[in-house]
Amino acid sequence: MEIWCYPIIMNTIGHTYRSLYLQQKTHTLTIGTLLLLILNGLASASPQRDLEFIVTIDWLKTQLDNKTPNLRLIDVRYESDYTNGHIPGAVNFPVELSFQHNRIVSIRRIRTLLRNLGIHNSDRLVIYDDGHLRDAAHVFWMLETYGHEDIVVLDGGLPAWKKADLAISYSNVKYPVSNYVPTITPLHLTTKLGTRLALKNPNVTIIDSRLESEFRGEESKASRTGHIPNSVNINAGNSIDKSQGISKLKPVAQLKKLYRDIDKSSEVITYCNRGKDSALNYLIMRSLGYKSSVYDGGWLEWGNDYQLPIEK
Amino acid sequence: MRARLIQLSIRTRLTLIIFIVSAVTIVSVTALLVYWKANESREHAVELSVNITNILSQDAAQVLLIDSADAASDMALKLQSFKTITHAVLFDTDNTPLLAYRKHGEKSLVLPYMPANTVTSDNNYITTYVPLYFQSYDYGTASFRIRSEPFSEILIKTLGKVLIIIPLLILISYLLAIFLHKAFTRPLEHIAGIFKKYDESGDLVQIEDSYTTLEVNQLASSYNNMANAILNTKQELLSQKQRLHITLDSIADGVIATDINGKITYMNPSAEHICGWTENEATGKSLDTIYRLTDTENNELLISELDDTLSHGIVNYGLENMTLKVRKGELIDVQSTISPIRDANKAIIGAVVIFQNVTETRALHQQLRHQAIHDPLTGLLNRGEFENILQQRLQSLDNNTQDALLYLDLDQFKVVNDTSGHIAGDALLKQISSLLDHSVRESDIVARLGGDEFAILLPNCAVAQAQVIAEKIRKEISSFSFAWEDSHFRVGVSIGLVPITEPGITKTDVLTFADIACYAAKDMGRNRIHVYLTEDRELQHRRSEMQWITQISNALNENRLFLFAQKVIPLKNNINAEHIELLVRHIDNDGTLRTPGAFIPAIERYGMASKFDRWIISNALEDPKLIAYLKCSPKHCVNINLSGLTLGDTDLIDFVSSLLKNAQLPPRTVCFEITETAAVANLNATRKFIRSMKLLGCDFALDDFGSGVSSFAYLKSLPVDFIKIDGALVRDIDQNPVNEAMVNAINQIGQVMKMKTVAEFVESKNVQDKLESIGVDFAQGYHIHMPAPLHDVINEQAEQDTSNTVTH
Repeated sequence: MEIWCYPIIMNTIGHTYRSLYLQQKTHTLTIGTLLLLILNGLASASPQRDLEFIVTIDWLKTQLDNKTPNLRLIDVRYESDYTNGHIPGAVNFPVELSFQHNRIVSIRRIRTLLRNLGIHNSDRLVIYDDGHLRDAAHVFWMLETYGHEDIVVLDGGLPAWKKADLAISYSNVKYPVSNYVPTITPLHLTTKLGTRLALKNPNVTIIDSRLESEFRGEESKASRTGHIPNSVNINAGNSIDKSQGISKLKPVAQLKKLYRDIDKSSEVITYCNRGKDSALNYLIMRSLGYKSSVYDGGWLEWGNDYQLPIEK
Repeated sequence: MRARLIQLSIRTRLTLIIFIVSAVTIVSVTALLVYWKANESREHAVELSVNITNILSQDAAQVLLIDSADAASDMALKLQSFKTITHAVLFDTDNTPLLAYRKHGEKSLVLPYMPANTVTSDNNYITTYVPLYFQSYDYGTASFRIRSEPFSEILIKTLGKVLIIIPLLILISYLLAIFLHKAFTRPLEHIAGIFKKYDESGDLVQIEDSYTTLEVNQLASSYNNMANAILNTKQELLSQKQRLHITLDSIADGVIATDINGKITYMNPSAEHICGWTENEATGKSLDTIYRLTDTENNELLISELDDTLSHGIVNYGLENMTLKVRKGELIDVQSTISPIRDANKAIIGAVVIFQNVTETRALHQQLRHQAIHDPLTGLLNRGEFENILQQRLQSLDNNTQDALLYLDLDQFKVVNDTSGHIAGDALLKQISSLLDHSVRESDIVARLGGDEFAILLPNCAVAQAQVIAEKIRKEISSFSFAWEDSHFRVGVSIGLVPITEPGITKTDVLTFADIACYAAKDMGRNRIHVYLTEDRELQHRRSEMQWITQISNALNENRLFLFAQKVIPLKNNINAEHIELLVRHIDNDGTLRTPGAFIPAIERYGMASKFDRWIISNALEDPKLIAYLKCSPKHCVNINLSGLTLGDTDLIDFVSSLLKNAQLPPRTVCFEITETAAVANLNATRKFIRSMKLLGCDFALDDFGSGVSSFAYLKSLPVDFIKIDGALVRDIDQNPVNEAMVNAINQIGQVMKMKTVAEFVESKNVQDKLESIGVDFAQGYHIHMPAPLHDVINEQAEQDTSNTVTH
């Protein structure tokens, strides 16, 4: 059983007990906690998720077999790829749709898109791409930014699915239009202002997710070269393991090693040029338990704004 | 409940009031505050929303108009700083939610669309809807969900504060109350305490202290005044009570006061003395324990009077015949009055009994009563009472009743009186009375009518039986020998018996008949009984006598009585006096001349004697001719007869005296004659009369001397001038030597006693000669002169005088 089930379980238990014994809140809590522990024990049989927001093929398969309600698969590949076969039940949301002028998609548009896809605010979303995770991460980040809770990313993407010889669907699935309302939280998206403020904040770590050369200022996709002052360069690509033919995330231990310099208690702001790499860093760091957000403007904004400080 | 409230002291009440008022104030203020705060929250929420909207207007506009995610994020960052905003939604112009904000930690919530400026609230949150304007362009609506302090939280918080305040409040109230108490109520309590002390012990102390407040000082001084007034009143009442007590104690009558239940509350010393109980012993006991009244006659206890008085307020005046049984058991006669005691509202609150010991008085009354109806000497009933009884008896007569009345007149009683004195007479009467008493039956009524007259009423007694009784009495009396100081007397009794048979007969009739009958008995020789019978000749005679009286009365009134005169000539030559004796003649209805012999006794009997005699005297002494005759010569004298009964007429002397004065007659020209028997019958009176007359200057002659009961001793005591020898003796002295000797004797004694003698009834020459030879002074009779009318006699005498004068 995954970790994110626990709050739900506790809530359900709590509700049940509250309705049965209205006055005995402590009681409920105690029993809830006990049950939680028990369930935790029981749940120890099922594979534990090291990364909060990453799910395995097996897990997905189980979910699909169990016909878990409110589960929506989002295929973020190109439409043509989608048509050539996708996980049954998945809808297509090409990743480029999550961009608007190199920035996050606008509120209106995402609202329309999600509504048309028939996705509800309460749906559990499973995002997959071709395994590189950069696309899935960006969509993940975008959806998180727009307030969706309960999103996971499939490790390995479709190739992994295919490799597992699991069912492939070729039909376009259509869901009824929903009343999706995007919610904005400042948690996951940092603006130029926020980043600018973060420079002075010792509790904030800015991670530059670009190539090292770009970090060093050897090249740049913006006017200026260099990086945001005091930022740390961690290329998101280092997290991907391509050794087995398909792209997969590196094991947790390695991931942890990758980000070991980052203080667990600090907030993390990732940035890159457009946002995919920073999204991946974001995803992994989120999964590892860091408070992270993405500086949406990225180097394209920062580098082009001569009023902003940079470092080389 | 209300009673208990009153029990609370001022201090407690003050505390309570202050506390309650404060508490109420606080609670209401709190409630108001809470309400305001709740309202405020709402208003604040709205204000906040508006302010936020204003603040975030640019961001909101960028979000809604430009669709900028950065703007959205910045907006979210700014919204985060508002701790109370949990959710927000931006609505597009088509009222669809575009973007939502959720504070970190809040669960996901969908805010529904509502028109702008709507405010909704549930317990914890207020949701506001603010219109979004950008340069007067309405581009959507912003909705904010603001956590407001829930009402309950506000209330609890406020109450919490209040609850802290409340004990403080109690303390302050208490302290305030104490202060107020000290300042204001303690003086009142003090004064209340003084009053309470009065309630308990009855002492009225003066208040010396002065107090802090004017009103209380006023109260204190008023109290002092009142206390003084009360004390004075008490004093006065006490002295009044004492005075009253003294007054009551001094009353000679017994006074007993009871309460409304008849229990004794007061007894004065007289009552104590009479009843034999002290006031202390008697107080609280019921009246009839102490004051035991019984009816004297039938010994019944009388208790109802007190109840009448107490319940109805009736004043019971003492009845006669009440006897009080005193403590020791002795009985005394009382007269008592029981009156109610009323209070100011006229309600009965008790009774007062006032009584006197009337034993003596009553005894006196009895005695008087006894004396009133009894003869003091003999103890028999007196005339008045006897007549009453007779009257009553007569009124109750019916056809079957036969009663009898005995009228007794003692014979020769006067002999005893005159011989041995009144004491002897009285003793005799007493003994006779006792005798009578024993001779009659139980039911017979014996009375002494007066003098030596008695009456006996024999109820239910027929004539025959009455006669038996009367005869018995007569025998006893006549055989009774009265001894007195070596003398023995015997008396007789003449009894008149009247049978009473017809109803309607009056008392006067009965007594008259009895009198007639008794007189008849006397007339017929005394010591006998005569029964009144209507056909009795004797009684006819009596009746005719009665008729005479009427006639005489009429004659007197009609002047049919005339004065005649008879000469009384001297037999000796040396006597120079010529008397004429006045006689009365009566012309009756048919013109016949009648002599007085027939009616004189009747006159005397029926009490007309005095009137009769007066008529004669006045007619004589007012007669001008007679007056002239008497005046013309000292030799002329007129003799006037007086009845024995006239002697008792005390005014007669004055009557004669005035007539003599008026006539200017020398008294010596009048000579009064009285019969020996009449004189003897009233010896004392006669003596007195004679003396009085002689003082006046008139002469006196003793008429019919030697006729009945004669005694020369009488002559010694009667200072008369003339002795007129009884005609019966004189009439036949020429043939009767005994009478001659008698006349001689009388004459001689007369001479010796310096009295002139007159012989009556000289009817022949021989008698006259004899008389001359004996030496009698005067002679009178038919032989000498026949009675003729007075004026004729006077004329005749005048002529003779003239001729005599001529002769001598």
